[in-house]
Amino acid sequence: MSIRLSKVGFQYARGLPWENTALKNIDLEIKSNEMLGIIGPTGSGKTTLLQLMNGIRHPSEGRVLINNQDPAKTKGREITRLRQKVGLVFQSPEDQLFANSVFDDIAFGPRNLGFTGPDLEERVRWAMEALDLSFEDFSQRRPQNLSGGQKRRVAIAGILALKPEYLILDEPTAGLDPEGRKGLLALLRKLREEQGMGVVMVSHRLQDIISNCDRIVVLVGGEILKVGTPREILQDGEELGVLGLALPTVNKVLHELKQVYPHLDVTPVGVAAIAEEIDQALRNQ
Amino acid sequence: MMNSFTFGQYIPGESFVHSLDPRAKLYLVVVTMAAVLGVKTLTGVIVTALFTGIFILSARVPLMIYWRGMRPLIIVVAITAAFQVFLIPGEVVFRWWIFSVSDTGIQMGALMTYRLVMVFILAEMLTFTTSPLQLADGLERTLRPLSKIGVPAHELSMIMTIALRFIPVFFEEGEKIIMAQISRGADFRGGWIKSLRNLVSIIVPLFMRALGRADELALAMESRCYTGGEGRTRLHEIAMSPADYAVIAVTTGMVLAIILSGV
Repeated sequence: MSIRLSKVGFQYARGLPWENTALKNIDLEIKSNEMLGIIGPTGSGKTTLLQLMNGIRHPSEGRVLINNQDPAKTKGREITRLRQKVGLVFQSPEDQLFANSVFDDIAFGPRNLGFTGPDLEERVRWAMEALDLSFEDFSQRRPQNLSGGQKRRVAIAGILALKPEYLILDEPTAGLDPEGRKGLLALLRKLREEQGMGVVMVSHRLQDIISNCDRIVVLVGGEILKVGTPREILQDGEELGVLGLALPTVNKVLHELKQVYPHLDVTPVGVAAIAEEIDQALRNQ
Repeated sequence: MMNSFTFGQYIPGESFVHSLDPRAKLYLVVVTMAAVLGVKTLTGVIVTALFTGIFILSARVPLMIYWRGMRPLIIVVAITAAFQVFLIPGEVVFRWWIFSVSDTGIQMGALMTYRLVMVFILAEMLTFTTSPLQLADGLERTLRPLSKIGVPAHELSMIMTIALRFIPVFFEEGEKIIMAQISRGADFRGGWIKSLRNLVSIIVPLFMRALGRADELALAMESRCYTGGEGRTRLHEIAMSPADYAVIAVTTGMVLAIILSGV
């Protein structure tokens, strides 16, 4: 089971003077139960790439296979079922809230899939609890009266209630305070570990991606520049800086120190591991 | 512009039509539209079509873009034409089941199609070749004499500029919300009650964003000390050139010829 993109290209406004190539020649496979991060400067095609993964847009060239099924060739109820497998959380998803209660908003997706009664409530309750929203406290509140971070979680719960196999998120932490960001990232890790969900997330915060993802895709100008584990990506950290993707401050310190201690390893992830590495380097002097 | 929405967009260029004064262009478009709506005979159709064609070609905007903008309108044109063809009495040309088609019906249907298409093409030409700012400027200057009798010329043109400016923005926003709800399994086929409920999921967020945007825009304008039209000056004052007067003269000539000859 996987989402596979082969030789995928995409153009906006095809045939018009302002035609714009967003993606070219993308080869990528997302395995189930993997946490994949996509980073890239603005305008590199990150959002378009995500929209291709759930079949809401179809590629101009190449093809996308979701669990061996091609969404471009799937019609009617089947396509709804296919999209249900790949839950796509848009950027600032709180903009799409519309119902009068949190319950109704989260229930929108499952209702469209035909769930009613206790089954429906069970799904909504599960989705809310997975995002740390107490069912009793929140289900009857108006989405409009919630805080930004709560709205974001309600919107994500609305996707989660579809019980997708993959959860795809576009800048999920943008605009959240540090607490909200940490909380959300922890929830995503938990979903992957406990539910075996594949998670794909786009962020321009390298920090969030490096400390949470198994694999990182660097997208530049609509093309994949590099795919690798966080350590592999950090190895060429300077290169990312040139692209306008700021390394986490602690990793920047490592890169600076490497000028003095050439044997320093620049790939550790997280403050503790980095401190350890520096300590080692100093002892070995 | 990322999207494939063409109606109401400005397509920068350096053609003769692009360089015309917005007032002259407004005059050209409005008067030609009136002429198109007024013609009754084949001669009139040919004259107005040639007249418009010359300007369309000299605007050097690919014809395909006009077509893209017009595509959604085809249904309206088809229905209008069908009404004319089937419902206007006259000499019956052929009959099938309960439908009968008259010669007058066919003529009126063709004429109506021509008029609608031309009006639309002219409006497209205006927006393709005139930036929203120029358009509003031209409109304001045209209406300025009327402000003496209480017509809020500046406010009207500001409203129009803002409306035009936000057409693509709302299109993009709407597209995003539609995609988001489709991702949540919204289905716009099937029973009408279900479709209606699904429609709410798009309209409510779209309105909320629109109101939010209006609020932000008002704040942004106010914080830049916008107080309305009184005493406002421009960075680029528009000025009529001989070419603009020539266009106005030619347009006037065309419409007078049509009125006097009765085509």
